[in-house]
Amino acid sequence: MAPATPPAIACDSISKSYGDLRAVQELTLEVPAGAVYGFLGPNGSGKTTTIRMMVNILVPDSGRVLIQGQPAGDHTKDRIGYLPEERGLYLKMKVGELLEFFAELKGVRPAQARQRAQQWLQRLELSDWSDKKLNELSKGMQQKIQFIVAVIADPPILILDEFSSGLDPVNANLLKDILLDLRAQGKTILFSTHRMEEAERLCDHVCLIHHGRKVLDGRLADLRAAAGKSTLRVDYRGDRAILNQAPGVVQADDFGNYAELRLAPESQSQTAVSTILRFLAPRLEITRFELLEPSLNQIFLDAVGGAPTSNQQLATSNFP
Amino acid sequence: MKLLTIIKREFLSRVRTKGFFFFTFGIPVIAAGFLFFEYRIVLASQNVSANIAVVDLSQQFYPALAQALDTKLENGEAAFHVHQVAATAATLPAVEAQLRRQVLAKQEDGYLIIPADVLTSRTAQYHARNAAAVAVRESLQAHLREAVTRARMAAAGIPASQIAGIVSGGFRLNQLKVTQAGDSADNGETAAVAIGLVFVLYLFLLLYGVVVMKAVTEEKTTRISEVLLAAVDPFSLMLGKILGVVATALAQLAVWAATLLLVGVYGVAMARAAGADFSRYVPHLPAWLLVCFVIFFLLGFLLYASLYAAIGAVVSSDQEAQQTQMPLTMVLVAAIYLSFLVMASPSSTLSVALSLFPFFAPVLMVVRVAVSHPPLWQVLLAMALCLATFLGCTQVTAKIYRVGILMTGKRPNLPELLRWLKYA
Repeated sequence: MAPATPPAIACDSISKSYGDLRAVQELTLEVPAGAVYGFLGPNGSGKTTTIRMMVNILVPDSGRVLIQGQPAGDHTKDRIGYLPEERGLYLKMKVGELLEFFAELKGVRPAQARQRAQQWLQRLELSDWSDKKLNELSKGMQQKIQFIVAVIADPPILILDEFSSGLDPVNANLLKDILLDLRAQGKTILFSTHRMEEAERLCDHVCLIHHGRKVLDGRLADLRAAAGKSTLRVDYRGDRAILNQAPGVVQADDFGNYAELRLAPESQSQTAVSTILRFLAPRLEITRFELLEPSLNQIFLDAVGGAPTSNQQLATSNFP
Repeated sequence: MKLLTIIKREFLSRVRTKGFFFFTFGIPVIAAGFLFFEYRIVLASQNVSANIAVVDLSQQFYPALAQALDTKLENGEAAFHVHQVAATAATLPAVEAQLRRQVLAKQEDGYLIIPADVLTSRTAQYHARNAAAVAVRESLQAHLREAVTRARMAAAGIPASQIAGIVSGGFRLNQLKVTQAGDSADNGETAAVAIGLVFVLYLFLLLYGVVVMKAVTEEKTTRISEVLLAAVDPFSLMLGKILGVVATALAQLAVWAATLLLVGVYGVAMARAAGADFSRYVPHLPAWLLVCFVIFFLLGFLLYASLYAAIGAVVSSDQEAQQTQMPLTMVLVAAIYLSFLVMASPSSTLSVALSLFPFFAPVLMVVRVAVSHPPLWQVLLAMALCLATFLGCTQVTAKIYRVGILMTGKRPNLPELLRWLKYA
């Protein structure tokens, strides 16, 4: 990456507390320009609080947020399109007027706002609804309108909080294609989710947080490579108890049709894997046998397992 | 620019509703309808001529009275049908009994008895089915009094040529207000007008304060505020909402004021054409009072709107809002009550202090300007304090709003509120 391009978003040791509750603690992260960045963590881990500091709804108690190299403030708001986790629209407004309003609020000229609104409605197959009021739209349509609100001003940075929650598979797919399109245009996309497999499909960078602290971050490929090929996927029929008896297997996660076997560090060599196959083959009917990089979920669980839990109680109260 | 966008949305989204349309244009139409209806009724009652029997025991005044009562109604008919009934002191009971029957049978509307000693007793009796027919009674009394007065003057030896000059012409007491700038005509109407103006302000504050409050609460409960705050700073957002609602209220007020002015001007013109002079009923409003009222109306409106917005930012439901707005309503009511105190002694130290207090100034300073002449610096200081308080309140409201939207659930108590201000 060219050094002249500052990161789209940089958090420099930011903290935020609500009374005794430390929602975010000394969090440092960088979202490179043009990245699709997954911001991951369980519910209540501080994702939304962090995002609200990025869009300057909240101000950090300490540390600072930089947007494209400039301190986050009212003037950086136009550079970020924001889809909050808690969706909300003026239900009594007409769809077209609502979109124009939010576009103008992000600095788009009125004439251009109208044009953009129509373009986006067309792209999301909602052109016929432009003059309808929002409360006449279905939930799914309202979700799409909320998405347009985030992207209509054509900002260089998009922040989507729990982006796919409440979307049916068809619309989720439609919006995912648009996101990929936006990435191809060079936009930076940050989305938070607690669903690891979703992040795994879309992101090139991830940051995992837990109890308001960063657990690990980096390029997804690097994180996986560092974790090593420590998992064996076995599609099988037969007695599941056999799986645990295989040599070098630390733990077997059985999913019914298949199982993921976690290997001890010394058993991650080619010969060790061969030994396991030789052990299992006579005892089970095996249809697939594959050496995998660990899933993001697995990486997260491993990292959290070693993380300090002194502030465990913080995660239990589900704070913004 | 963003501020304008917010004001525009608030304004249009309210003005375009059916409710606003009916309320704004419906009320003047209904009021005008009532006025027209009432006008027709009054006109109809005035266009009925009265049949009156006159028993003139003095044998002296009937001709003069009949001549004076020979007037025409607007529809060209005679206003009175007067006829004399002959009687003496001896036959009076029988004649009167006969007349009573005729009145009850609606052959006559009433009968007038002028006693023989009317010159000294100066009384006469008018018996009528409808004793409330004021116009008839007033006419009879005025004309009879004039006739009797003339007769008494003649009896006192005043030449007939002079009597006409003495009798005609009334009397009027002009009250003058003593001010430093010189004495000016004031018949106490300005005080009445001041109270009227203050009540207009009061009504609009109550009516539209709640609208501001609901506008803020609604955005909180529907979770729109998060997207808004990601686009604009909370101060612009709050200011925009308040100005948008105030603009709506002013648009409504403008329509009503224009209607009132139109009806007023038309009415006075009509009355003048009909020969009546209403000019002394049109209140005399000094320009300075009007200027003060308009400025304080705007400032007071903005100030209270920002307080209602603060309540909207704190509460999370309409029921909560109802309870929480009570103290604010109390302050308003207090201002109205204090206005009577200020009116009684507008220049006392207490009145001056109260009228400078920003939450009372929009009401009390207007009252002081109406009934006395407060120094200019006091008026300007009150305006400045109002404006500063409004901006300060909006600033605080914006902070509460910024934190308040993120925390729904139970209403915060005061220490929690103060902590909110710190978070933001």
